Amino acid sequence: MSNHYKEYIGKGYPPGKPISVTADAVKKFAESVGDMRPDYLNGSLALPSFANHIFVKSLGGAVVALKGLVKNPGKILHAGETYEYIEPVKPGDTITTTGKVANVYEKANMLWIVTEAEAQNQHGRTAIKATMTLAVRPGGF
Amino acid sequence: MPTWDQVKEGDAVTPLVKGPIHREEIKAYGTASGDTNPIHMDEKMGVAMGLGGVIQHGLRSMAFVSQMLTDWAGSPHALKKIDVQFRGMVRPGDTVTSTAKITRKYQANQQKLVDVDILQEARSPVGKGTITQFEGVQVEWEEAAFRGWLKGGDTLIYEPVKEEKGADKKNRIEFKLYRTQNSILGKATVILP
Repeated sequence: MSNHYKEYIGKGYPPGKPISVTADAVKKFAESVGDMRPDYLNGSLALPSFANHIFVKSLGGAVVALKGLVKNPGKILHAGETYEYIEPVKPGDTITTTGKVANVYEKANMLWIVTEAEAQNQHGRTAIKATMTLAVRPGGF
Repeated sequence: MPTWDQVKEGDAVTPLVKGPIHREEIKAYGTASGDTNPIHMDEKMGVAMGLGGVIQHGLRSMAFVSQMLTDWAGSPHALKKIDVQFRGMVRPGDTVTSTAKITRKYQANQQKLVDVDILQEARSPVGKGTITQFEGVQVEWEEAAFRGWLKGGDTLIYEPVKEEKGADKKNRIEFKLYRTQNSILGKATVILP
């Protein structure tokens, strides 16, 4: 592994922009995966997989942090994901996310990037912990 | 829905089948999740990126697994932890079946828990056709066959869907060809009542 990659390990993402969880966003997300439980459609609760929306929307800083590491985002594939659910997320919540690059390595001609992130609610309590593994195909790094 | 007392290690979770997957659904997920990477949203970019077209977000496939587990457990709060690896690309036309099996039953922090192993399989249509006694085999290929979605080592599954035996002994079979592959492998911890 070159030093170029090593310098990213442990690097924190710039603070994520707080996002307000809306009933409409949860409903649209639930509809997009075909999970039509009434709680998700009537504004009571966000579905577990809504975590993806939260981390994508709030971790815009990750793009900045990975700049220089990933040259072509079209070559990124999602290789793995872990979510640990600690407190339910519901419409009306305001979520702030923090994260860091946990590891970067090359394997099988691809660049692997492991990021760890936490989503906190407006009460300062951790709602979701996430670990995301990205594989960047040749030509993308 | 089962209670913790009713289940045992080795039991299967009620499977969830979704599909066939449509391009519009993938696009809608991209908009709803915020992950609008062109490999999911734009057919031409999917080709340009060497993928043979758009692919479904791995996290949309993962959402199917989460739904299977919360549906089975009967509560949107049932999912404690989920850890998956994306093993194969899910594409338009695929039918996705999520399954899980209980590997451990235990109690911790006053919660009744089970650990499950997850397997999700994507079934891609490859072709459909007929076999007749005198005309032989006619096949109409699906996208998977001519867009480079198949890979070396794939096994095609032949499935007869209709058999006719005519009075003139002109036997005719309609069939479909599929390729199946693992799209997700993983583990989860589920809270049961």
